[in-house]
Amino acid sequence: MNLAPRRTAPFLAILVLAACASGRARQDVVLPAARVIWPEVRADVLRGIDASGVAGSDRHDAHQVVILIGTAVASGNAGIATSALREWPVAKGYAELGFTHRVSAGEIGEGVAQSLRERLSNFHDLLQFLASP
Amino acid sequence: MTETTTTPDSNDPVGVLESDLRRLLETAIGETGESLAKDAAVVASYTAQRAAHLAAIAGQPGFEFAVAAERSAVLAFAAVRVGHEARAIDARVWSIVDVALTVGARFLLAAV
Repeated sequence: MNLAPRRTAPFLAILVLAACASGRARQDVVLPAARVIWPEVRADVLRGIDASGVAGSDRHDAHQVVILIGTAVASGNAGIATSALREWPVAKGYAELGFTHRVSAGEIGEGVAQSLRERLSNFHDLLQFLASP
Repeated sequence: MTETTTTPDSNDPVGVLESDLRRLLETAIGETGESLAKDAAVVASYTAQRAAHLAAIAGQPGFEFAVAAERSAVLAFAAVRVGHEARAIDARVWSIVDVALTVGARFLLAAV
């Protein structure tokens, strides 16, 4: 029987090359997007921490969460992103607090706060994607 | 102009494999094209929705923060869609590779 691998090899080579799509998308699209957006979200979380008046070890813990998420985004490591995702509710809570505080202070309108929440929510989706291998 | 199609000789297993692979690949490409078009439409719709929100809140204090936030929200939304689509493409392609390897292995076993 003539198996002629020369005839089938190009098909398989094309298929295998095409199957790198998710790695490329992660590296070239999702990660850069997360890196662009994180500084904005980080600023929201930090403002929330300041607005909360949290001090001492709680403040330290809050900053550790910010550092963890930053590390996940900088490295693109799925394991670190999983850890960051676990701590996400803490960061989200502070960011929300910051939005509420800014609305109360008249710095931003409620509609503007909705836009900030939208960015926060979509950043969470990016983090979730990075956390899945 | 008539398109000529070749039917693989059933006595030529590699030809059959090649034909099957081509068919599977064409199906996968078709599905990917449809899926990408759907994704593009979803991102366009989301962008329009966010732009409408911005139009509705124009003049609110801190409007410039909303513009920056919406720009990033759309970027994140599109990036996640691309990521999920790429995973779907990989899944389709790997299923074809899986079929090809399984069929190829049967040919190899038959040849021994």
